[in-house]
Parts: sequence; C-alpha cells; structure tokens
Amino acid sequence: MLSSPLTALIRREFVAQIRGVRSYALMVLFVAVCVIAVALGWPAEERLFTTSANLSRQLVMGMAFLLLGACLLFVPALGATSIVVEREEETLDMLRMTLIRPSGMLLGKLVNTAGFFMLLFVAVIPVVATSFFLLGLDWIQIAQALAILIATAFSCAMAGILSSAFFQRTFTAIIMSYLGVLVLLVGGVFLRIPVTILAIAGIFGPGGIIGTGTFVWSPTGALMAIFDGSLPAAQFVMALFSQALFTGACFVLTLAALRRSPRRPRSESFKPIDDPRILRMRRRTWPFYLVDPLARKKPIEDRRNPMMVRELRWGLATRATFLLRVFFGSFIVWFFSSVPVAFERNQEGAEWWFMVQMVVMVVVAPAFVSTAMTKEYEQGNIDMLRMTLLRPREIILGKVASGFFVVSPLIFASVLACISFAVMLAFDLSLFVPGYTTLLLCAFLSVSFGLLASMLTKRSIVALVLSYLLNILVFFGPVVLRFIFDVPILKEAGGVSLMSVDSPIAVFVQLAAERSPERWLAWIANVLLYSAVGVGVLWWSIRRFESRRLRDD
Amino acid sequence: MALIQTVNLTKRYNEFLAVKDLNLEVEERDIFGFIGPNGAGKTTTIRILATLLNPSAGRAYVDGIDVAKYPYEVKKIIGFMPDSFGMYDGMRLREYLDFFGAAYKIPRKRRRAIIDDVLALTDLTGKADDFVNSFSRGMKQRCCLAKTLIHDPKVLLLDEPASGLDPRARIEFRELVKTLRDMGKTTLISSHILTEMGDMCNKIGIIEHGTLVAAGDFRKILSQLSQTQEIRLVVLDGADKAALVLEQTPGVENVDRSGNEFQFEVQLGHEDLAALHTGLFEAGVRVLFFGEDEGTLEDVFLQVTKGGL
Repeated sequence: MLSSPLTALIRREFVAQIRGVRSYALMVLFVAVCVIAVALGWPAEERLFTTSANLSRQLVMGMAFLLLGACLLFVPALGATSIVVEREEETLDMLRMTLIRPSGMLLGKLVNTAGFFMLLFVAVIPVVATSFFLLGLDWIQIAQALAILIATAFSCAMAGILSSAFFQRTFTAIIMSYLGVLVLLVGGVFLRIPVTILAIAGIFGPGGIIGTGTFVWSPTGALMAIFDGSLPAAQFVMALFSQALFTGACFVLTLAALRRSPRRPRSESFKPIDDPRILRMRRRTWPFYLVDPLARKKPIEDRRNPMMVRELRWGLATRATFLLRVFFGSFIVWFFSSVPVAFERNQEGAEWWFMVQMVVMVVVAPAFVSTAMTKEYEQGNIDMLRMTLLRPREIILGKVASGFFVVSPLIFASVLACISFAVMLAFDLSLFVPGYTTLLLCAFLSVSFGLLASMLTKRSIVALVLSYLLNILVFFGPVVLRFIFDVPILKEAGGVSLMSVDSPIAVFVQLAAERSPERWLAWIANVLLYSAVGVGVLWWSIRRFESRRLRDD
Repeated sequence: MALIQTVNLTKRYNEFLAVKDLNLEVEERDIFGFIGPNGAGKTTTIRILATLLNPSAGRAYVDGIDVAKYPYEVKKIIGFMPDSFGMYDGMRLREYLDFFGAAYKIPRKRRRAIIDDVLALTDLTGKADDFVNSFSRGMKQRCCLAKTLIHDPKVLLLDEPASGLDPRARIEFRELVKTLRDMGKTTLISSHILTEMGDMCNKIGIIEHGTLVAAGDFRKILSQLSQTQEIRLVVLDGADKAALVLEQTPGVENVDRSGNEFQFEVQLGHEDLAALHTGLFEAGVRVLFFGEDEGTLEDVFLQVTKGGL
C-alpha cells in the first residue's frame, strides 16, 4: 500500500498541479472545445432518429480523439518537467534525502502526471454523456477506448518522466519526451518488419495471435480500429500489452537513472571552437564547415545590432556542429526521397515532397524559437539585458534572425536536394516557386509565432506548448474552420470560400493539384495575407516587450 | 545635491504593501547601506530605482531624472547588479564585456580600452579569456560588477552583492566598493551582512515592512540609538579590587566578569568615566585596557527592527 511519505509526495505534487491557474484554464479550454465539437456535430431534429446510432459513435470517437490529442500534447511535457525542474530548482537532493524510495518518487511523479489527464477525462464526462441520449452506443467499444486512453496516458507520462530523469535541461527533456511519444505512435509500424520476417519464417501466421497488423498497436491505430469495429480481441490485448511494455521499459530505465548517484551539472554545455587548430581539424572532418566560429573573437561592430550579433556568433556558432549535422542529415533525407520522385517524374510525389518539408518545418521551428526569451528569464540574464540601452526592436529582431538561422539548414538542405529534379529535367518551375515560397512562409510564421509564445510567458515549457498550439491554430485551424463551414446548417446561412485564408500548406497542395488562374490568385493572396500576419505578430511582440517585459509588472 | 531621491515612494502588489511612503536621499559619493529583514522592501526599492519596476505611487529620481518617466535616460547613468543573475553559455569574459559594451552603445574603438580598465579594476585581467559560465560565485560577482561598470555609470545599485561570498572575496569586494567611491561613484548597496556595511558605508537606511525606520550618517545613528555605553576593562592584576570599585560606583550596571576582563554598562558622563578610571588606579588596580565597546550595526538593527515579517 501507499506509504505515508509517498502519499505526502503525491499530495504535494497533485495539489500544486491543480491549484495552478494554468491547469484550470487548460481544463476549461479543453471542455469548451469538446462542448463546441458536440454542439456542431449534434444532428438536426428531423435527422435525430434516422442517424442517431452513427452519430453517437462519431461523437464518442471525436471525444476519444480529442482526449488522445490532449494526452499526447500535455502529458509528455508535464512528465518531462517533473524531475528536471526539481533538479534545476535544487529540490531534488532534498527529496532524495527523505525516506521516499526512488520507486516511490517515481510512482508519485507518475500518478501526478497521468492524474492531470484523468482530471481532463473526468471534466469531459458530462460532455461525452450527452451522446448517450442518441442511443446505439456499443459499451464494449467505449470500455476498450477508455482502456487504450488510460494506457496511453501512463505511457506518455512515463516517456516524459524517463527523459526528465536522463536529461539535465528542461528543454532537452521536453523534446526527447515528445520523441518518445513519437516512438509510441509510430513504433508499431516499424515492428512490422520483424513481425513480417517471423511470419514468413512461419512462426506467426497472419491470422495468428500477433498477425502483421502492428499499426493497431499504436494508440491512434487502436482507437481507429475500435470505432471501425475492426479490432479483434487479440489485437486489442496486443495494443494494451505493447503500451504496458513501453511503460514498463520506461519505468525500469527511469528507476535505474534515479538510483544511480546524481551527475554533476555541466558548467558549460556548449564549448565553442575558438582554437584555429581545432577548427582546421574539424574542417577536415566536415569539409563544408562554413561557419567561422572565430568571428566571435572580433569586437562587435558599431552599427550592428549587438543582440543579433550575440545570437549569431555565440548562440549559433556554439551550435554549429549540431546545425551542420541537421543540414547533412536533412539533405540526405530530402535528396534520397527526391530521387525516385524525380526519376518517375511523379507530380503527386513532388507535391508530397514539399508538403512533408513544410510540416517538418512547422514541427521543428517552434522547438528552437519558443524559448528565445524564456531562456533569458530562466538563466537569469533578463535583468542585465533590460538594463542595457538596447531597444525592444533590436532584441526581438536579434532573436528573429537567430530563429531563421536555426531553421536555415532545413531550407538550404532542401534547395540543395533539388539537384535531382534538375538533373532529371523534372524541375517544374510552376511547382517549385510556390513550393519554396510556401516553405519560407512556413518558416517565417513558425518563427514569428514561436517568438510570440516566448513573449507571452516566462517559462520555457509553457512557451513550447503555447507555440505548438499557435502553430496548430495557424496551420490546421483554417482546415477545421473549413470543416465547420461545410457543416450544412452553416452552409445554408451562407457558405464562404475560404481558400485564401486557408492554411498555407493546404493552399499550396490545392494549387499543386490544379494550377488554374483562380488557384494562383488564391495562393498569392494567401502568401500576402500570412506574410502580413507574420509581420503583425512580430510587431505585436515588439510592442508587448516594450509594454510588459521591460518592467516586472 | 541628492543623486538618488525618492518621494513618498509606494509599491503595492495587490493587497501586499511592499514599500510605503519611502523618502530617501543619497548624496553624491555616498556609500549608502540599505538594510532590512527579508521581505522588508529593499529589492523592490532598488528595482524601482533601476527602472525595472513601476512604482504604485510617489516618485523616484536619479540625478534629478524621474525613473518612471525617463527610464532610458536613467539607464545611461546607473549600473545595476541584481541579487541573482546568470551567465551566457559559451562566452569568454572579454566577449561577454564586449557584448554589454556594444549594448550600452560604447563605440568599438573605445570599447577595448574600457574593457581592459574594467578588468584591471575588478582584478579579472588574468581571466579575460576564460568562459564566464565556468567562474566561481565570487568571480561571477566580480564579472557582473565589471559588466555593471562598463558604461561608467554615476550611480551604482548593488542588490545583495556580497551574499554567498567567502570572507576573502567579501573583503576584496568591500575594498573595491571603496575604490569606486574614490572614483566618484555613488553607491546604494543592500546587504544582510551588517558588520560589512558598518565598515563600508558612510550612511545607512534601515527599512522594515516597507517603511524607512532610520536613515542617515552611520555614526550619528549609532550614538542616537545607543542609550547606554558599554565599557570593556582588562586588568593585569587586582581583579577583585576592580570588581569592588565597580560595585561601589553609582551608574555602573550589568557587570560581567571573566577572569581579569570586565564588561559593564554605564550611564555616566565623560567626567565620571575619568573619575572611575582614576578610582581603579588609586585602588591599586593595574589597568591594561579601559575603553568603550563600540555599538555595532547589529545592535542598532535589532533595536530598530522588530523582526516580524
């Protein structure tokens, strides 16, 4: 049973969690989203009896996916901060000195992290319950979905806690926890390879216990299959088992990390290259070592923005090796994925090639930019920065420049990878011009919204989650909006063509599919509109810094 | 002329009154010690003066400039060292100072010489090429002070600069502040290390619950607040005779004897004290030391503050 120190830990963690305004606001927001979704999906009175069975299942499915989304978005971040924040605030040693065992500590963190999801779940029960009025629900499906959701909450929580125990910095822990969740989501697909080999070897037949349908082992796949009614009992058990395996593995690894003696925090995380001999050596290893880290030895020039120079010479030069790896890594991926597309002159493939890059940009950029200002707070540099004669404009533009340089390896790699299209004479200017323009627009918007998120809060984790929420809103919100306007009742009130305000990625895809003059116009309008939005966001960030961040209150 | 002045300065955080009608004056070349228990309002006052916080009411001026109205102008003439601060990753000391020099708009041509001077002043010349993030606490304090001095400010606002320093580093820091005073700087310094403030500051202000309870010349405050004098007497021999003399002398109280050493309180004038000294001599006591035990800042602090938060 729960020992009393452990109960104390759980109480402390959980009370602190639910006492915060942020948790309350998140819960209210989430419930509001669910209520809106149910209200929009609720059938008209005349269709109530004819379609209620289908609709009730759709509503429950919608709720389940909303809960899954919330779980995947919030729980890993919560878990990722659970230990690393204690380490940063130097309270971890005090916790170690108590009678709570590492296993108890871990259990406390797990209960607290997964508990937040349980709270969300309890909060939406009344909303989900409305679908019961429509009848026709399959209780087994609901129970299965619930089991999958709870298992996912624990898996996500453990993925977060594991990275929190292993990494010294909050930011790294958060990123790694999301990568862990990615493994949970798509890892099952990769299990296809060994399972197929085993099936070929005759160990498992396609109709056997495991089968080859490993996609349903992931939470998303399992939920989809549950509501499709295509999930056999054996696969459901495997889905739960694979999650339990993931959670268990994370638990054991975290426990091992907590039991070993704590490592000394590194006094300097990035050692820049400032010795010409080391630079020469590095250039031999990486022939295209373009960034000259020795530039930072020169005094900052008079008419240049010191913030920008600092960010570029120190912030980036110290990460030059990492950025170069990103460049080479993404070049390899873009190049090898472009070769078959170019060789086959596959138009649809080329569209996808761009779209994937845009999505990657939207996923990657916020992670680097959203902490631009919060880091200054967390590292205690903000007061010294505010005391200088730097204007808010200089500070913000310095950070923007840095954001662009961070994402530039992805863009350069993409441009360079284009070589295969040129060689195969498959270079279609009418696709590549809008493709690269939209890619740049995605980078600009992601950087701008990341920076805005960084300006709205003082904590990196909040900024990171907020920047992803803003990006989701910008890049997926219009798609949802389009869906809403497609709802018959709204269409009757006057359907609107939303193409020019649609997500830039969606507009590009539509243009790539059909390059008619109307779509070109819509795309140009879209680019202009979102460029203006990006500039507006930057302007607002500067204003916000001027009015709210130059002083404490 | 008062270089730092606050007029009915008030800062309220919702229901909590951090600073209440604070009237403070710090003259040019003063080293003003700002003393108070935790949560008394020292940091809030300093942050208002440093333009980092808006006052709820009242005014604060630095060199006659309103800090709330003209923060940019005030920043040019003040150097602020916060109580906690961080260091940038991967920057060497010279690069770090060059960045702040550029951020203070110091022309490139002058910057190198200024950095050399500041490094020499803070005794960091030998560390110019070391990473700032690898410095010890004492080094970081000096590094931050070097950054604070880079634009040659008239006024220094130092918030708990000596906290966490070892005794040697504290002594060095104290000497540095005195050197800065000799260079014409006006310093407002908050600290909990009261003995140090006594050695360093010529003026003090004691703040409690956001209200200034005493302010002015350090010696004057000491003498005003010390109602009794504490005398220390050390004798070579005749300690018993000395004890008898003290017992028989009116106005001598709370005699504390430890071997040949006495500590007692007197409410006597200078004439009576001289007579007491003569009485001891005439009684055959061979006196090694007879003198006033100076009141300490701790005594004054404890007397003036009530200790509640």
